Amino acid sequence: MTPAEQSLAAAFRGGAGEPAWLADARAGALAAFRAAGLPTTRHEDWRFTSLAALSTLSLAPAPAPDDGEGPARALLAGRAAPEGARLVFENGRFRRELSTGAPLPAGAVLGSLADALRHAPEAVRPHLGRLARVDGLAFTALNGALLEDGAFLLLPPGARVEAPIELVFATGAAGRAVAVHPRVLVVAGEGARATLAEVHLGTGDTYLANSVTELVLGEGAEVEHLRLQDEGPRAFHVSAVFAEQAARSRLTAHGLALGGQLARSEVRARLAGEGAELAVSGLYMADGARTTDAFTWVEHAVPRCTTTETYKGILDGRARGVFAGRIVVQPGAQKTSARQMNSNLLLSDDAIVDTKPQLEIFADDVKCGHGGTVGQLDEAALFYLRSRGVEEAEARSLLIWAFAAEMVDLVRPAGLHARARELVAARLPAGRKVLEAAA
Amino acid sequence: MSTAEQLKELTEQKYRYGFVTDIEEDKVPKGLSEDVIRLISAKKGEPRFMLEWRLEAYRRWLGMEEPTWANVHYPKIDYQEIVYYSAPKQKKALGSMDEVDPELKRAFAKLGIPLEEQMRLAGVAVDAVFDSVSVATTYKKKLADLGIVFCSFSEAVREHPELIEKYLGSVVPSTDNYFAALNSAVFSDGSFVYVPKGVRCPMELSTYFRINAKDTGQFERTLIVADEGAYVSYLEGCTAPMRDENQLHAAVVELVALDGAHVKYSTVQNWYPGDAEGRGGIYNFVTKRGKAMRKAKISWTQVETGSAITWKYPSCILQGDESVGEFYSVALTNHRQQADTGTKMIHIGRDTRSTIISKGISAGRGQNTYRGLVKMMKGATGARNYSQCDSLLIGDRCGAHTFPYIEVRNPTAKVEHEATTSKISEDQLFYCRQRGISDEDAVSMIVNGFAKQVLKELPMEFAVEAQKLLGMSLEGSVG
Repeated sequence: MTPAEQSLAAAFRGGAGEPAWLADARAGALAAFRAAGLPTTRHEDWRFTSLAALSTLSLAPAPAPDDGEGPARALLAGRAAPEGARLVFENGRFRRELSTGAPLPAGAVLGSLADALRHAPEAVRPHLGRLARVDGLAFTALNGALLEDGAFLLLPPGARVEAPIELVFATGAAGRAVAVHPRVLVVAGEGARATLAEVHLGTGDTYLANSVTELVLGEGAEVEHLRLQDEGPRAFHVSAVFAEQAARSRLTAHGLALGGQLARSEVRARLAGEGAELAVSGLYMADGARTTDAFTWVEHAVPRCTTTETYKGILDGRARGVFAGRIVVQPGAQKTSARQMNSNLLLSDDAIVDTKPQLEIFADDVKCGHGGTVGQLDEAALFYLRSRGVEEAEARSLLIWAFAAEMVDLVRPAGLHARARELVAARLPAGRKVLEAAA
Repeated sequence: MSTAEQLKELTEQKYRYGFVTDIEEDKVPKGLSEDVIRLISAKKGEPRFMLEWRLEAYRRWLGMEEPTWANVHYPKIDYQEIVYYSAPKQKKALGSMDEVDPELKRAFAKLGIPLEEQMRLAGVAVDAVFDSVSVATTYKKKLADLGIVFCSFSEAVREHPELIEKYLGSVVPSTDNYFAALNSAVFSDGSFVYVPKGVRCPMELSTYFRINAKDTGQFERTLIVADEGAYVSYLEGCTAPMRDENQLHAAVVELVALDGAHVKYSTVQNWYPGDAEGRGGIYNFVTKRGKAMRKAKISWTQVETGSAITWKYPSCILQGDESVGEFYSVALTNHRQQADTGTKMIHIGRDTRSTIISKGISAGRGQNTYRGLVKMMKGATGARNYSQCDSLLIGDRCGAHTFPYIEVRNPTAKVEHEATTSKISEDQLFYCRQRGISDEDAVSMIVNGFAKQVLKELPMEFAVEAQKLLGMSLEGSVG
C-alpha cells in the first residue's frame, strides 16, 4: 500500500455508537477501498490523471473544530450574504455559527448530515449510499467508510425552495495534510424543486477534499446542482455526484472547476424513469502544472429520456485537461436523445488535453451524437481585434471569455453568477477590462 | 411479407461462400514451441536473421498477456490447440498457372475469382495465398520491368533479404502487442511489395487470402514499401469456408511510405462470421500500421462485413512533415458478430493531416465499436485532424459504440471529432415505397448511401463487390 492508502485506511474508526446498518456500510466501504486501492494510470478511467503526487502523502483526519480557528472564516471573508440558506462546512464538519438559515416549505429538512444521522437516522437510511456504490470506486468507498458530516436536504412531494441553497466546504489545515470526506444527500420528492450550489474553497495547504453527493429525484422533481470549485494551488479535489432520476424529472448538473493542483469532478447519472431530462455541463480551467479532470457517466435505462452534455476546457502553462464522458443507452431505451460535446482551448505550447467522449448504444430508435474539439485561439479573430487597436492581452482575454461565457452563464443564481464571472475573469490576462466591457 | 419477417429472413441469410477444399497438406504438429518455430523457419528455408527474429518475438510473447480492453467477448483461446503451419503440398516451384493444382483453381472459381480471367480482364496481378503459401504470382514480369517487386513473403526473404531485414518490423515491431508478437513468431507467409523511387505502379496489386486447412490459424505478414515519390494501390480481399470451430487470424500489415510516396491499401473482409447463434466464425485480430515520411500519404480503406470478431485498427504514423493519413471504414455486424475497429493517427511531423471517416452498421445482435486515437505530439505544429463516425442501427438488439481518444500536446494542432447514431427512418422507407421501390432495394440503397463516402474510396473492382456484400447482408432489414 502507498503511504496515502495506509494513512487513509488508518483513519477508520469503525462505527462505534452508530446504528448497525451504518457501521456495516462503513466496514463494507473500507473493504471495497482496500480491494480497489487508489487508482493508477493503468486504470482506464484514470488513464490520463496520475495520482502519483497524492499517493506519497500521509493524510491525517481533519482536526476537531475546537482545535482553534479553522479556515472557513477567512475564506468566507468579503463574500456577499447568501440569497438563501448557506451551510458552511469547515474541514468537512458543519459550522452552525457561520451558517445562515432560510425559511423552508413545510416538511422540508435542510441541515447537517451528522445531525440527521444522530437524530433521524431512519430518514437517511433508505438513501445514504444507495446511489454512491463503493465497488471499484476507491474515492467513493473511502468517503463511505470515513464520512462524518455533510448536508442533508429532504424535500417532501411538491416542496419548492426558490432561493438557491449554498453549501460551502472550506478545507485546509496549516502544517499538516488533512483528508476530508463530506457527503451531501438530497432527496427530492415528487414535483419538488430546489437549486443547490456546492462551493469548494480551500487554503494554500496540501489536503485531500473527497466529497460525494447523492441526488435522488422523484417523479417530476427539478433539481439544479452547481459546483464552484476554487480551491488552493496545493489541493487535491475529488468530487463525485451520483444521481438517479425518476420519470419526468429534470436535473441540471453544472460545475466550474478552477482550482487545485489536481481536481477531478465526476458525475454519474442514471435516467431511470421515462421522460427524464439531464443537462450536464462544466468548465475546467488550469494553468501551471495543474491537472483538471472531468468525468461523466450517464446511463439511459428507460425510453424517452434526454441528455445534453457540454464541457469546455481552457488549458495554459503546463496544465493537463482531461475529459471522459460516456453515455450508455441500455437495451430497450428507445427514443433516447443524447448529445455530448467537449471543446478545449489550448493557450500554451506545453498544455495538454486528453479527451474521450464515448457513446455506448444498445437500442436502435435513438438520436445520439457527440463531438470533441481541441484547438487554439483563432489567429484571424485575434488579428481582427488587434487591427482594431485592441491590445494583445485584451484581445486574447476577449476571445477566451467568448469561449467560456456560455459556461459561466449557466451559473444562474445572481450572486453566484457574479462570483463565477469574477473567478473566471481573474484567470484571464486582462480579465478586469473584459468584465468592464461585458458589464 | 411484413418488414419484421423480411428482417428475420434476410438477417438470417447463410454464408454463401462456405465450402471446404480437400488438398493434401503439409502440416506441422499443433501447438507452439521454439521447436515448432525452428521447424517453420527450416521448412521455409529462411536465413538465420529471420529465425532469430522469430525466436525473439516468441520469447517476448511468452511474457505478454492477451489484451482484454477491447469491447469483444469470446472464449479463451488455447494457443497449444492451433496448427501453426500448413502449406498445400507442392512438388516444385510453379512456372505458370497451368501448374497450379486444379482443385485449388476450382476453389478460386467458386469464390468468384477466376484467376486467369481476372488477370486478363481486370489487369490485376493476383498473388493468391491459399492457406499459407503463395501458389500463383502473376503479372510479375510486367511489374519486374518497372523494378517493382511483388511476391510472396517467403520469396522476398530468399530473393531480397536486404529489404526484408531493413523494413521488417520497422513499423510494427515484433513486440508491439500480443497478437503482433505471435504473428512475428509464427507467420507463415504473406505478400511483399517494393516500389522503387518515382515509380507509379500501373495496376492495382491484389491478394486474395483464403483460410482453408481446419484448425489452422492464419498468420499473414504483409510488407509494402513505397520508395521516394512512388505510388502503389494494394487490394486485400477475403472469404473463408464455413467452419464449426473458431479460427484465429492474427495478421500483421506494415506499410512504409518514404518521402513523397503514396500507399493506398484497401480491404474487403468477408470471412465466415459464425452462424446465427454465434458459433464458429473467424477471430480477426489484426495489426495494421503505416509509417509516412515527409509529404507521404497513407490511405486505409476497409469494408469489414465478415468474421465473428474483428479487432483491428489500421493506423498511420505521420512521422514526416506534411504527411497525410486517411482512414475510411465501413464495418457491418449482424447476428452475433462483434467488431472493435477504428484507427490511430499519430501526428509527429509539422503540418500533418489526417481524416477519419467511419461508418458502423449493426443488425441482429451485432455489436459494433469504433475505437480511435488521434494523438498530436509535441512537434505536430499546424497539424489537423477531422474525424467523423456514424452508426446505423437496424433492429433493437444490436449495439453501436463510439470510443474516440484525442490526445493533444501541441496548441496549434486542430482536432475535430463528430459522431452520430441513427436508424433507417420510416420516412425514408415510406418515400421509397411510394416510388415503387421494394423494401429490400430501399434498405440496400439507404445503407449504400450511408456508406457511400467510404465506398467511393475503393478501387472500382472492390466497390462493386463491397456494395453487393452490404446489400446482401442487409436488404430488407427494416427495424
